[in-house]
Amino acid sequence: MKALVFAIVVVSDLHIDERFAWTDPLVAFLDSLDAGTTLVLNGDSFELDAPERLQEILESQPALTEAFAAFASAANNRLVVVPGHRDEALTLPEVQAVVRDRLGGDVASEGRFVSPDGKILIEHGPARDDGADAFFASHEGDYPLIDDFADRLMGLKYGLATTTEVEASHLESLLMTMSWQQFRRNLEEEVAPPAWDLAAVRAVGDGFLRESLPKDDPLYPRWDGVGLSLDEFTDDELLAICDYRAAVRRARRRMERGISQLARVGPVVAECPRSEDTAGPSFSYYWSARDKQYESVGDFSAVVRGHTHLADSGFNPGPMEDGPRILNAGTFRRTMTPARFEVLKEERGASTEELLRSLTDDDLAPCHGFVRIDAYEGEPEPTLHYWMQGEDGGFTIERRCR
Amino acid sequence: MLRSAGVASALLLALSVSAEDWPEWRGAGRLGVWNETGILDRFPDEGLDVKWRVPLGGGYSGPSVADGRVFVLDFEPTRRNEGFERIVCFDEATGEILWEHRWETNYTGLQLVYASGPRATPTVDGDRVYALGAMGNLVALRVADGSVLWAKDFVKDFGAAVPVWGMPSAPLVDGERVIALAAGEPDAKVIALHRDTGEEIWRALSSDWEPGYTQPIIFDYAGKRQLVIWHPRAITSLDPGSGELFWEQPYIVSMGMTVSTPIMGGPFLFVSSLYDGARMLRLDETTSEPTVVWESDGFSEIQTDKIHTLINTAVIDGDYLYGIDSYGQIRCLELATGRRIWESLDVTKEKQRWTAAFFVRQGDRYFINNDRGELIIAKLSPEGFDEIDRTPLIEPTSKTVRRRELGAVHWSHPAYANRHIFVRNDKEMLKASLEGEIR
Repeated sequence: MKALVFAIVVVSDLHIDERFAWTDPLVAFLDSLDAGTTLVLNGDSFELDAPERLQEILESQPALTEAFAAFASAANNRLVVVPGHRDEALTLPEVQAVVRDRLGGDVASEGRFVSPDGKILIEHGPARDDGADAFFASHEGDYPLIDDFADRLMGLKYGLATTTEVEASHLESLLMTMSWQQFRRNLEEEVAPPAWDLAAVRAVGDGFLRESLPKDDPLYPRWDGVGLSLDEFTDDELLAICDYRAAVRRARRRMERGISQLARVGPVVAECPRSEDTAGPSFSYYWSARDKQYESVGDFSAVVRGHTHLADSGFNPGPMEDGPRILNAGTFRRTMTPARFEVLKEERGASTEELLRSLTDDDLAPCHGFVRIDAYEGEPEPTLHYWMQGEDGGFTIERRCR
Repeated sequence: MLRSAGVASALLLALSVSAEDWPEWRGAGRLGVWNETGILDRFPDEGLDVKWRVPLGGGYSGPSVADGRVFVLDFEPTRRNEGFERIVCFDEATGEILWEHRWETNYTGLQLVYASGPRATPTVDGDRVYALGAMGNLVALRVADGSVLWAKDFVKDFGAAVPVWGMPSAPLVDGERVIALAAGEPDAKVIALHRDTGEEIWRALSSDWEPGYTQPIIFDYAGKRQLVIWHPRAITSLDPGSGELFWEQPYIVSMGMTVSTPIMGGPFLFVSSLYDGARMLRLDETTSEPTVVWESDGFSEIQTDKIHTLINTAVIDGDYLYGIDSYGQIRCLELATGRRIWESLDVTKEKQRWTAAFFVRQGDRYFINNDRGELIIAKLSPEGFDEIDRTPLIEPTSKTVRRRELGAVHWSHPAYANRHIFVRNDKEMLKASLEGEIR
């Protein structure tokens, strides 16, 4: 007997509002799904800054509303909506009633979806008020696609590089840019990283802040003009910066894909000075963090997250041989990567600000990310896919976004 | 009459059979070639004739064999990730422990599922043996009694940042130099130490990127002895005497995963990694400057076009190359073009990520130990994988993060010496006869 009879498809971070530009691809995608599919909208599906907004948004998007409802009403199909941080209002009964009545779906009121056999966990992922949302809201008029970067905080970074509005809260947000730090954030105080020597850090002076970024970071050249002082940062914030430096250093030294969000090869940053008793490899906290993360999801075989807009085909955090595999569905929206952004700057001879102002939907990669878990007998095999639009306008499912 | 016949047979045997030690990683010169004759053609029906078994702790370190002694490293945990690494010297004939030397270590900081013990094969050079622990403890010992000549700690002495899968690179002895991948900061990725004193002779290459997990190897080519270091940013050729750069071919490898050993066949120099695939260089016959002949297309370890090996080192045989791809497929590629001739799962029997097998050439055939703990005799040709025989070798005991049919893997390279195989897992080491009729 199969553990999972029907397929699960996970779509994250649609951010649907009145201006949603991806209705046609999404409707085509819904039409393409096999009968007997459970579709999970994995957080930040709607821009709900107030409970009544869902009704308004659905009325403004009749084709999409109809497509969701048609999908949900088909035999053996199921639509599940997982709340994220931008649509937290989905936890309210009156909003759940709208989902049920207009879309034919259920809200995962626990904030996560667990498959009937208990092997698959789907959740939006840890999120917090990172200052990015406010920055995006105040700059979307000038920079229309600033919220469409993958990773989403790269939009914040490029935006900040054009302003003098850098605040400590922004910097703190940028310290959490990397997708793997999304799970590290779950760890709270349980992780024992190296003990950073904050007295030595403060002795470095204000230059410490700028040198916390690799020299090819878009924010690096702007740092001096921002006039930030170390005195504005608490010890906890400096500790976070030191963790970030260690993580960036590690990513750069290993030339890891999709982690630093910058070019794979480039300048490294130095670690913060450590206390003497935490010197040496025993205090490289990365694997400790992974092992801790494993403990929190170790009963599952597959974990699918969203929030970062950065698709991740998955990793197994160890230390046990039987999973889980942790993926990030990225976003169904088309996105701009830092690598693509730099190419466009070069091709168009544009500054960061000029390009941010002039980006259009056509500049975004024609890929809509999603995760699919086919019916299985043994263990689930979640895989990252892209709903891709070809030059002829037709859509195909691909394993890579080209 | 009988006595005379016996003497004659012994003389004939002595004349016809060459015995050979296995003093370092992949045998003399690190070439993965076993030159002895008098090796069996098929395995006994009842299985290998095991001469001795001895208990051993955890580790991937393969044994080395020299002058009647067998050397291997292991790990004995004490609490959590702490414990003692050990080099043990056994009597080759009996398996009796002749001496051992231990040092304290702590594997915290490694990916713990793989933190079972040392990785590097000890290197024997005459009356000395050099051993490297997983956390960068290098020790030089007298073969005779295990007394310490000198010791280095790559972390304390060179500021090394130990990579997450530990320090696997077997020390390479070249004249008076012991060459090691030390990962030292800021510019001691590779070091040469004096074999007698441990004093530094030279250091080379930046540690702004990880050291990788490959083995240093020296090739003689274009009138130069070239120390080839394949690290995650380039394939680099150094002067083994001075550490000065001969040439460098950029090649970015993700996650620091330069694991397999570089191989040469004529002017061709080949490396391959899991994520970034293969790169075949051709070295100029005069200057030895490299040019890329072919490389893997794309960037996927799942849908691979040429070959993406991980811990398997490929072999070059004539105009063809054979290796294990990312999911356990043995592939035959045309050496000059990288064109795939065939692939098969017959070696590993299991299509799973990181599945491995290790090749050693023996005459016109190969001895292959796969990670299911089997030993295979096979011929490799453009016509296909021709399995001659297969037998159980040793129990797979190593954990891996992938689900495997047997629940564990065997990822240690054996030693082939004096017509026997010496192999270890995380519980024991054994010596089994591979002696056969003179061929």
